[in-house]
Amino acid sequence: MSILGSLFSAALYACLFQNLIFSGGYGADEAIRMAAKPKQLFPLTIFIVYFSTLGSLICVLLEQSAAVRALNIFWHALLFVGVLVALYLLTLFVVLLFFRAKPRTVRRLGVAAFNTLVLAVPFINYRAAFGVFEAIGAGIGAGLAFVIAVLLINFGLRALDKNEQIPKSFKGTPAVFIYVSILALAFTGLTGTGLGV
Amino acid sequence: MHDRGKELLKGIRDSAVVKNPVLFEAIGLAPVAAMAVSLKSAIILAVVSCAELVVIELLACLALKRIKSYFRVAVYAVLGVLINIPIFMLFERFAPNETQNAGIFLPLLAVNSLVALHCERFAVKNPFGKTFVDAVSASAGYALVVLLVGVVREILGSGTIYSVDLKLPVQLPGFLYPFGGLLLLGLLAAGVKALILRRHPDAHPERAFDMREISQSHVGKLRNLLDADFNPYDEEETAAPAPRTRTEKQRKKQDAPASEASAQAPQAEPSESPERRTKKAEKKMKKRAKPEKAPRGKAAKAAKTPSDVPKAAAAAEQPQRTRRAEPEDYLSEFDEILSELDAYREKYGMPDGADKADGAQIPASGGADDAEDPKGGEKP
Repeated sequence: MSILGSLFSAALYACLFQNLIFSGGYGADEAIRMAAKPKQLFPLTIFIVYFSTLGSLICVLLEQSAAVRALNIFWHALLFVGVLVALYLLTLFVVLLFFRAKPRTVRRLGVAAFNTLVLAVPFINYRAAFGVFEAIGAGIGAGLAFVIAVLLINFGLRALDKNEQIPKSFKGTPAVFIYVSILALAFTGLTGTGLGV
Repeated sequence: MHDRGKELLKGIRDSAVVKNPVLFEAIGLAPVAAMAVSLKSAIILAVVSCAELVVIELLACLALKRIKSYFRVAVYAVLGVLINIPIFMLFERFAPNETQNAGIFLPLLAVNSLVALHCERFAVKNPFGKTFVDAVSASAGYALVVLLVGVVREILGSGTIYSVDLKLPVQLPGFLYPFGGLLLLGLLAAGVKALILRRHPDAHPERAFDMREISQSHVGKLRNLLDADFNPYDEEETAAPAPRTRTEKQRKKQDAPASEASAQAPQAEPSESPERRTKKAEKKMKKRAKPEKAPRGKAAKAAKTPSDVPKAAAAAEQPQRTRRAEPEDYLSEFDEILSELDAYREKYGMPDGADKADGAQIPASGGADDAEDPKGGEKP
């Protein structure tokens, strides 16, 4: 029960109370660009959850070693990027060899594997000293956070696209940024930290 | 010479301003929104990002063109982290507090989408000179935005500039959060866009962020997981379909006055056709995956003759081969699209349909054609 509890609490923390995209800003550009092309959301999210969960798990297992724990943040970065690269190449090999995926499919893998959201999860685990199950929860939560962010931004983009009253200079990315900032403000409210206003 | 200079200036203007990576392409937002909270941290971010972008883009142009794109993406990440480490060590000596405050965002710059997108969109497709201009101007545009956002956030959020207290009566610490950074980015983008539109009315900065597909279904289908098209780096398809499989009839149809017909066609169809095409292509793929039915009756008897057995086996293997051969897939899909186009033309009485029914099938402009047609009254 405590295992499930730690897994769910970490997932909720990553996707809702401390939404990694809105409250932390991790993977904000990927979320915004994906919201503009929502057709790809489902496949990309599966790959993001896969990479964030598995990458997070492998990195936490490596963290159990005292030698790895003693490294400073940049050697950790090298290690985490190395884990992601290895995982990516392994997945690429499987997808190309066993599923005979087309080149256009494997492009999706690269975007899912190498983005700030996926790489941020092992760092958050490292900083928060998460255990194995919390790390898995954080990985899943990161993927869910991505889905929530993309859906919310997409709904806003649709409304912004139809709105003819927006001044010409605010059309496009300026309006999108302001809309995303309002969403981010709402999610920052969930973190419980005061804004000092 | 004068033209080359103009072209160079236009390239710099496009990469740095009109297609500014942060303001108009929405690339590399995460570090700007979260890390650029003061001038010092903005300087660190700008230096690391510029060094990464210039070095990796030039390396990609010189050495990575022959490597497949899905391997290149991994190489960018490794190069990014390898470039980050020495710069981080340098900054840790000179500005230890700011480097510590940057937290995990400095190492995260290794996978900054700014680098991957610029390399894939530009560096691997262009010569060294053009790549250099793009790398320098894009990184300059990025650095300028980062510094500007950093200064404004430090003044508004902390009431200081370069850690010097300005003794402002009001501070707004909300600007130190990611939402404050995004809000400032939005306002800055609007201001820059207004300036661009005033000075260069023909420039279209909004085109840098493609919003044409926002109204598509956001759920998608499970079967699209491995089949749907996805082009994050705006790459051209390597196996682009060449129109060599067209029949003579199709060529003749295209040579006929197509422009006249396309003007009369309803406007809703082109927006629907890509989905229909995808569905048709999926259906065709499914059909190909199914084994061919065994011949019955006389055909079966004929196939059983010894000379026909290898032919039948070859025919049974055929679908498997076509499924694996990708260019043929594209060609057949292209064929499918062409035949669909023909059916569409026939339906609405376009080029070759005109000689059959004298334009009587055209729904929208049929009346006008009737008036001009001397044989209008004799139509069936």
